Amino acid sequence: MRFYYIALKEIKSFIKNPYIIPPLLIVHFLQFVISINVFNNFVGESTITKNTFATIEIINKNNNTNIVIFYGAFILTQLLALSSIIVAAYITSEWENKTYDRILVSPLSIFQINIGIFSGYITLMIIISALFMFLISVLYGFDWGGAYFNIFIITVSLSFVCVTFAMLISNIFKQTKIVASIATFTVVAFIFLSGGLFAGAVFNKISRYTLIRWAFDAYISVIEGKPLGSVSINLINILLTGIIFMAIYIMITRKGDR
Amino acid sequence: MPIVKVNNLVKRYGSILAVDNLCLSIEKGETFGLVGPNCAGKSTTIKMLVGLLKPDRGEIFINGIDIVQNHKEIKRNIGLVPQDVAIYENMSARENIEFFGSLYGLYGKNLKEMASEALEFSGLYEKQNERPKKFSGGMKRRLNIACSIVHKPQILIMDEPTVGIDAQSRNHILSSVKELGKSGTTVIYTSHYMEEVESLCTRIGIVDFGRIIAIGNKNELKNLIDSEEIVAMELDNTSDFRLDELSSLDEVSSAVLHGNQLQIVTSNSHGILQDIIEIILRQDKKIININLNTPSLENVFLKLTGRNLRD
Ligand SMILES: Nc1ncnc2c1ncn2[C@@H]1O[C@H](COP(=O)(O)OP(=O)(O)OP(=O)(O)O)[C@@H](O)[C@H]1O
Ligand SMILES: [Mg+2]
Repeated sequence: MRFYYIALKEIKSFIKNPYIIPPLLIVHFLQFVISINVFNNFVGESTITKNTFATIEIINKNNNTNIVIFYGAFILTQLLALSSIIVAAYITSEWENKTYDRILVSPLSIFQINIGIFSGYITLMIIISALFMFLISVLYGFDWGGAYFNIFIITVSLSFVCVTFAMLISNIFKQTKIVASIATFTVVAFIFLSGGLFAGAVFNKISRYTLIRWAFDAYISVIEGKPLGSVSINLINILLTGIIFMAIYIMITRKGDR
Repeated sequence: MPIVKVNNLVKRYGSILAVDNLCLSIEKGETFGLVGPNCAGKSTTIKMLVGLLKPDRGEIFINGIDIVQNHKEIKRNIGLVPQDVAIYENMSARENIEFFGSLYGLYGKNLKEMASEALEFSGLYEKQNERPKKFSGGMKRRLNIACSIVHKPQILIMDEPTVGIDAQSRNHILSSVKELGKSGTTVIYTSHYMEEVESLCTRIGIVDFGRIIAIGNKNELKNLIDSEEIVAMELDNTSDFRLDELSSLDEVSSAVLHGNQLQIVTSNSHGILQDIIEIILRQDKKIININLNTPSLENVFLKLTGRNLRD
């Protein structure tokens, strides 16, 4: 069980840095509030354009999802996706600082070390998402619908992909600056393509192929009280992506000297 | 049985042959110095010893066990002080030490005690709750060492632990290494400072271009070169000085005067220094200055490679 110490260390150092989680939460809370206001004040009342038709269409598909739930789900997903950039940078910096070498020299097996890093960051993401959920339900009165277990399952699956993604790209590019820019580019591109920023008004077709969309659609469904079975396709897609990332990661680390 | 045995180790990085058929045998309790210039392959050798790198060829046995076969058991007994300081800047000194200790199976009260010992040993006890961000280079180096000795390894491998630090921290590190050696820890110490290795190590291997070019204790190494030493003295006056009394000493090969400067060439300065001084005092001369030029390991390196250890 010694991998637990690695996990704990990752969580601690993340939480103790005041410039990570608090700003992340504040920014996402603001985005949530502003998005809803913008939608209600402008998009909602403006003359109906082609885009808003699309909006209405996608929202209708989700069984009259209201815009509050839509943004709650989307921004939670975005929060986790963006966190993976920071996780990637953290993992890489550990290699650059050579502290990772030190861990490798210890009697822990590579497997235990990976499990430690992996479980640490997944736990961290769960903590971050819980904090965000708590924040918007207290400050905004957001109603999570009570299906916390289902939400948890989706969060774990999404965190799984995010962390394997972070581990993978940090292993491929190995330098904090490069890893951070590539992660940022990838994640932001997918957030954009998922159409979530525009309440589903654009990229409606492409977005169906983005992991972000699979995740927030799943969140929307379970928040609205649908069973987990109704989003099983989304979950399978998400988990498969994670498994593919992980497989590549294992292949790369097997080959190298580390 | 040697505690570390290395046979024909080879490691290439692309076209660079970093370690070239290196053989080594280190006995339990030795403080072994591995000394060589930049790029000699010291760090590469060490990385293979601790399992961070896979050798292209060759075998490594630790405690008689092939490291390829039983990594875990061996790793428990090894401590590595990496060449680059590898600590977490955002964790306190104690947290750093305790984290690395926990990876070696220490926990609870035992871990706390061992961490305190490591802190005291490295002279950081007062700073245990501070983050290394605020530490000087020397203190970081000391913490770097503390993190590797917290689990009391049988074999401590130190890769240039004194690079770029102040004299005080350096002395602290050197005396702690001596202490560890006395307590029975087998120490493998790499450096490109000959004088460090000379004062610390019971046996020394000189590495160049990935090979051990000479190995032995310091006297054995010095015997590889003609061991003439020069005793240079400045006297208050040299009028009527009888040089023949000095020249006639057994181990003196020549004695000359240049003004007030006396130069004696000998093969054994330590053995006859007393005699030389007595002869001078008997002739009522005062010694103002003495300089002893013994051949150093630097000279050995120069002789063996035709280069200086550091440029
Ligand atoms: N990761 C690497 N990739 C490519 N070449 C490397 C790598 N690490 C070391 N080398 C090369 O291998 C040779 C031996 O390097 P090594 O670090 O073992 O030397 P060293 O004796 O520790 O030197 P120093 O005193 O500078 O630490 C050098 O020529 C170096 O350039
Ligand atoms: Mg080196």
